[in-house]
Amino acid sequence: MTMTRPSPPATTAVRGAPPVGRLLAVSGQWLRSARVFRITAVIAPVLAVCYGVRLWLTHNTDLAAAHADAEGRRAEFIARMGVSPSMVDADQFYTDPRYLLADALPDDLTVATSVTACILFILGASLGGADWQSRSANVWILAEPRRHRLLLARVSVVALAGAALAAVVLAIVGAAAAVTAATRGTTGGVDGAWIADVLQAALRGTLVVAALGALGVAFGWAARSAVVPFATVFVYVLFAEALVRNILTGLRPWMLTVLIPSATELEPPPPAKCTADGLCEDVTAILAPWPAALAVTGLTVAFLAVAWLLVRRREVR
Amino acid sequence: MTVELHGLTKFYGRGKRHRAALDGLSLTARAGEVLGLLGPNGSGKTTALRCLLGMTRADGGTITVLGRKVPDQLPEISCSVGALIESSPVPRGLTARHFLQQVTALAGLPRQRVAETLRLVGLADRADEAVTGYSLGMRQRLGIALALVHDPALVVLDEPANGLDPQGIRWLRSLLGQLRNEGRTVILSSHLLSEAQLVCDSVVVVEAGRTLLAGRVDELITPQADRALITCPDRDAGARVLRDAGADATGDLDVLDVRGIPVDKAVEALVHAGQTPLEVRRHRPSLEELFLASVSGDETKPESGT
Repeated sequence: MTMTRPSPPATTAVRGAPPVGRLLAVSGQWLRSARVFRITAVIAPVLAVCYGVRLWLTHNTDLAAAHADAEGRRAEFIARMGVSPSMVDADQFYTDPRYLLADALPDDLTVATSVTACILFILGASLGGADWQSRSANVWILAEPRRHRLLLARVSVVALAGAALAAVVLAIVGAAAAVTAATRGTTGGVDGAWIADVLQAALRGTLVVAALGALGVAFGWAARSAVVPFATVFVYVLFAEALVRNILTGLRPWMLTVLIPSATELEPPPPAKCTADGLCEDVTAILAPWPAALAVTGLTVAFLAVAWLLVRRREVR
Repeated sequence: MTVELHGLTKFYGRGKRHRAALDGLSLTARAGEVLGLLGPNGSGKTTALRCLLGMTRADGGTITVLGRKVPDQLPEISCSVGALIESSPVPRGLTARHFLQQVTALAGLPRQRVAETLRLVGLADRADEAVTGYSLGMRQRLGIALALVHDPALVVLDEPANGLDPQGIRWLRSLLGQLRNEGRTVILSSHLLSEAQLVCDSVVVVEAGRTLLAGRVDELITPQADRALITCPDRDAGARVLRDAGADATGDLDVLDVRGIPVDKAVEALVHAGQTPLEVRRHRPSLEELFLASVSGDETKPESGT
């Protein structure tokens, strides 16, 4: 018996996987709809503003009070230790209360970059891991079976969002530092070359934050968990870096906790000064800023490749 | 054909733990039909569906879906396939509406599909709540919505009745009918055999990764030629006559369950012995009986319909 069936409606015509543009747009929606991202997008600038307020509150231009305070601490030290006043210099107790923009801003940018990079790694790993833990990756993989495209779309939007967030955070910190220097400090030493160096450091910081966000997503996807990346990083910082610091000292410049601050330095590290008989002063070995930033990016790309290999053939549960 | 699986094999584990999840499974789903995939736990139903969707790679055999080879050509048809495998995803902090909007956008369809689908699955009133707060039944409805929202030609549902209440099961039955009427192909795996009998056009019974029985439901459950319920004037005498004729006649009441010989021969033997039957009813097996007979290797296993 032949059965007559209605022909499929026009809307059920065969449709393939989405084009890259649509995949990126939907990944953007995916990111925006994640509560952890919305919270991060608010918290990070708020933290930057708090940091700026702290800068302003902890500096002033009252040099006389700073000198008086230093003198008081010197006298207290002499009385407690029983040493001759001629042996103790007042300068040892003096701290300039002003905000010295040229000296202090690079350190502040390093702090802001490091904190934002950590936040982005946590965000990326949470989002990537949650994709699998909630089983929503199954839905996306059904629509786009080429998993590497899906992974790259996820990584791209998180990296872009991370770069934007880092730019905002660094701009807030920079603006707060400039205001503090103008009102409670000095802009001595600031010139065109310095500004260009700072902008480059901020650019490297942005790159590093974007890379850490991408690394987090790749880690979350590879581990299919939000917890495993955190545990791994904890073990890495606690054991692997400690091991390198104490035993494999030659690898120290390549450690993440060294690479990130190195990338936001304004200038390359000075070469070690050595005497004629071959004795060198102990300088901390770090990479130059751009090589450090590129090393973080390269590390991310390498891990992305590992994640792709793991994601490509593993079964979707 | 919308879906063709041929000689599918899939192995898990190594050494002593090596086992075949699929061992040459074959099945065919025609366009616009509801195909039921039935089998005991661990028989390979979900693995077969995973292979069909490209979520798992088969070790051997061929899969053709909507005229394309899977998994190589799957990207050419991926937005024409909707699926619910095992349970619905539950993304933290996301509402059903947002989730469905993302899936619709990925398929490049207008947003109105979301509202239509939410109404279809009965989640319109709760669409703006976080899905983590949904009950099991609501999550199942969300999973079905995710499978349907992008207007697929092929719908794959793995145990779609899980977590649904009786009203929900009735709703699912009508939904499957609606999908069939729209010309979509539906493949569903289920343990609810009575439901499968009501909604499926064809069934495939799977055990140990192999096809045990396959065919159209209306052909499979046709009255059997060698089994009947016969009421005799004298039950014991009738039973003796039938046993002498080579039949297996059992039954505690007045009605004898007769099997093993053609019904007309049984009737002829009874008439010849003066035990003209008062009533003869040919036995129409239910899908559950067919299923149990198939998976247990019962000697009463009916002939395959295909």
